[in-house]
Amino acid sequence: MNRSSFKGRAPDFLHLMMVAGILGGACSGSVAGRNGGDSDSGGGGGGTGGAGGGNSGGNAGERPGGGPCPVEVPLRRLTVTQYQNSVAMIFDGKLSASAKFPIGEQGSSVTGFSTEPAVNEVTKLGAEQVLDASEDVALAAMNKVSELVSCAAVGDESCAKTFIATYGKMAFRRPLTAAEETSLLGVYRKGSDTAEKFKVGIGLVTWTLLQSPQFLYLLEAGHSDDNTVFNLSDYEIASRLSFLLWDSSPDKALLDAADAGRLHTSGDIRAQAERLLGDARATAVLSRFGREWSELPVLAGKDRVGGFSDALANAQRGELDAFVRDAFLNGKSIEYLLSSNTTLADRQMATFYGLPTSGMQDGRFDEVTPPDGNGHSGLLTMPAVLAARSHSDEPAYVFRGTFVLEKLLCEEQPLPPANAQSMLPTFPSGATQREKSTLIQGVGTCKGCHVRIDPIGHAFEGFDEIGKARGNWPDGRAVDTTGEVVSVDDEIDGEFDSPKSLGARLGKSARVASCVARQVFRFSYSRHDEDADQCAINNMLGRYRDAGGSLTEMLLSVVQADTFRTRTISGGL
Amino acid sequence: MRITRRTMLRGAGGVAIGLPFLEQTMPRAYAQTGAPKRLVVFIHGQGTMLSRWKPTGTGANFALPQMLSPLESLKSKINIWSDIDNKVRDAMRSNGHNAAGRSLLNAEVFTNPGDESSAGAGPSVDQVIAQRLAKIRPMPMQSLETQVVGGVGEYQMIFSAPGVRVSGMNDPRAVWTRITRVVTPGTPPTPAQPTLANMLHGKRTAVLDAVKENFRQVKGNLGAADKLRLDAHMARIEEMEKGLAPLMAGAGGGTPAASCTVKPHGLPAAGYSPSDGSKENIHADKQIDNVVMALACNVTPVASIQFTNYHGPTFDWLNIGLGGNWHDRVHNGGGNNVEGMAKAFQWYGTMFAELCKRMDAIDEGTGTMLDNSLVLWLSEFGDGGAHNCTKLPVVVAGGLGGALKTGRHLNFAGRTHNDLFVTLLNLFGGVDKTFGVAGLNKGSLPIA
Repeated sequence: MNRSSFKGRAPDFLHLMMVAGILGGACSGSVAGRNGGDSDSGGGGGGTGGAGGGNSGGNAGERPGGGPCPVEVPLRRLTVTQYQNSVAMIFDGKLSASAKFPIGEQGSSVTGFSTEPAVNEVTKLGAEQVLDASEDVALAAMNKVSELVSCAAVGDESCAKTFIATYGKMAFRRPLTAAEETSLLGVYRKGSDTAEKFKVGIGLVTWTLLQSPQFLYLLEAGHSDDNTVFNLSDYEIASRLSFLLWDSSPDKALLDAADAGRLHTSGDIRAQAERLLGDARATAVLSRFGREWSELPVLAGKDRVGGFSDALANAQRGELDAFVRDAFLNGKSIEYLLSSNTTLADRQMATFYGLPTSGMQDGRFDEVTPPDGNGHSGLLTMPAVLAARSHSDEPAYVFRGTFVLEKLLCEEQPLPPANAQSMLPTFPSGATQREKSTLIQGVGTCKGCHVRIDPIGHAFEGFDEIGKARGNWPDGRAVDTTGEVVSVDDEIDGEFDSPKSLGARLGKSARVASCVARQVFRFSYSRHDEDADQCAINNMLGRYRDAGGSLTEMLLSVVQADTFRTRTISGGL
Repeated sequence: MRITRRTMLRGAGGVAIGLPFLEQTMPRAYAQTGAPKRLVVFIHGQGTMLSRWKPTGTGANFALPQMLSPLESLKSKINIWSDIDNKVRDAMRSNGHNAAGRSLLNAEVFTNPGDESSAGAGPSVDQVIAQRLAKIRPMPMQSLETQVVGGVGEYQMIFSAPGVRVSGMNDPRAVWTRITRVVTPGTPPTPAQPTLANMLHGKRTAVLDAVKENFRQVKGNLGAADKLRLDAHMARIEEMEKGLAPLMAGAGGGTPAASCTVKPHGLPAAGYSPSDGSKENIHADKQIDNVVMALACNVTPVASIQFTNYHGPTFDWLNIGLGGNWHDRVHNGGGNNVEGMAKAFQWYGTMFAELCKRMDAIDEGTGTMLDNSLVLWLSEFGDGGAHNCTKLPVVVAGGLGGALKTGRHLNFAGRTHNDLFVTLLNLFGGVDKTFGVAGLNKGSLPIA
């Protein structure tokens, strides 16, 4: 729901909600057009999601688990990161992408995930940047052609065909069709009237490959008997897998597997997925997942008043990266994710937590246990998350409450009304945050949402604007860590005495588990989930539970499911 | 017309593709004279301090308050149009920023009313003017969009058509390269050597033809939304190519002004980051140079400078001790540093004045470049602290070659920014009565 960019910006929609309000009634239901977290029918509702879902049954009226559960996947353009990784992959590290491909982040993301098509729209300037960036790579290919094809010394048309077949396959992530080979040979021949016809021809082919939709988009034709469910080819599965887990074009091993027809069974795909997850490239992707899920802006030291620095902001982000990554790579549970009293800290973060630093290094994140008084509770009290949801010099309770509602419960808050500013009550001077909140909830229109957001957000006042634990406000008042979840879901509804006890409650909640699965779904398929996706999401939850609560299995369940090997097209062809 | 390979190669030697070649092949088109009509849009975020912005006195007799004081020496060449409202924002459900930003230049709503991340439902005024000017007098670029710091985020406000975003460049070095590669003032360069780069570059058309053919070929098994995505990409390629066409085919935009000079941008290749917010003053200075150069060299008649670091500028160079995040400071009215906040807002005025002064330093025979242009200074809010879109701070510098009387403060209370844009369109030769969302127009503002 945050449509602010996820790069370097605070989630601004919250600012307005903080000072003003949101339409009342809208806050008790789901957002129009989306599967809201507390819809009555979705898997997230009333504890039905997940607990009884998954392979073992699912909700009444839904497709039984274990079926194909095909979903729609929007046509995705390579992100900047994916473009860079892919150029390096295509040319085996011998060539790298040009910095002139900065096109990205044109629109903004609904889910927070940067692979959404709207974020990667191509503008007119973008088209020019694609042209220029691929020209740079083409020129580099000309200069290094002898490293790219062994027949370069001969430099004839036969060698050009070798280049086209080899690099065309890498770029398009499948063998070229005969028509594509012919067309690219035609492009090669356009260089024939130059003094360096072989090199120029190779440059022209490269320049064309890197601008073509077969490279820039994850095209998935699939094949279908009925034009409703399309089965992906092994090559298309290779691409899905590689872009999901590596943010890159498939490597040679994946394409070899596809060549051999060994990439369409659940077991074969799992084996490849495990290989990919064992590689450093997956590290970067899972870090991105954590940051985009929590919609973490890149804070600068100057964004907070005291005790903050660029380096600390960076270390906090590193902690979040490491923590989420570890949870998804090492089979941790949602309970661990939200209520763990341990975290992963480098030297700077250990200092931040007031822990001994001997043997620790900056940038290397080891397991530590923050002091008891810290009330640490996994992702819920992660300093990066809390600092991001703060103003310059005080916590932003609305941001923090909204984080829990939107990111952990998938209960998206409606947009504030256009006239929200004018509804703002007058605050007496020196009013505390809780006093201001009470006044705001006294305004009828504001109440509907703030009655739910604020009592969660206030409970985090024991963490200041840089995410540091504290016992008192700067003016000496003791912090009050109590709060309340207002929900139709009895499992999570009710007062709580601290973020720590909130974390324990949420960690056991089926509703939260369903939300985590939905976030993984959004990450995997680059769009918001809809009611129709509940079948696929229930499968993920089922695998998660069958594996005794393993987030790694939840992630692997995405690629193992039939869903991953198919697609549907809304409205048909 | 046939373009020989040799001609193309000549132009490809680094900075020169366009004009020397045009000079040689299209003397008539090239020889168009007279200062072109030009528009520059200068935008920054968070509004202003309205209480220190609105001039006292109207007509020709007014005093400039603190926010406008950097314009003192240009007072006879500007118009201040106060109390114009953005009424479109009231019809948009959004946080405090998306709606304000998206509707600022197009006076239009979101393409999808329920989605504040969606694009604007109409073209922005700068693009409409650019499209019209391009029909009269095509130049190498229809328009040039620059950003300071970059990352437009919630403040995407430039659209060429409903739903079609126009992006800008934040690296002054890249903008400089983009401008200078289509202009070479003075004597044509010696013919470039047939380097690999030149040989490759000369085949651009063939490559684009192949790329477009690939776009045509891949439409199988795509849903309607996906087809639209590819069609949009293809359309952008074609628009880009059309933009390159004057260079390739020789339809020039006219003689570069005598003062078309290409001075080096002076920025290092390494160790300089255009997204470094602490150097915003340097980025802004360079983008102003770029825009003035692009105008003087007739590379484009329409340009924009958008300060995209709308929440986090640090104003380090002013030494005001902002104490925290700029957006937070604006929200709470400056907190305990109201004077610091005022100086920060005033800085935008200083940069706007700088832009105008550099344009005013260029003599075009019939007045200065500023006299022959319109330079619009806008922000999405009136008063920043209130974050509302009423009483926008509108300053229009320049007289557009006598079309607009200058040196005045006019109050347009009750009028909309829809009408502001109708006024601009008509100053550029239009006969428009409406712009943007229907029902908010009364027609041109009474500026006579």
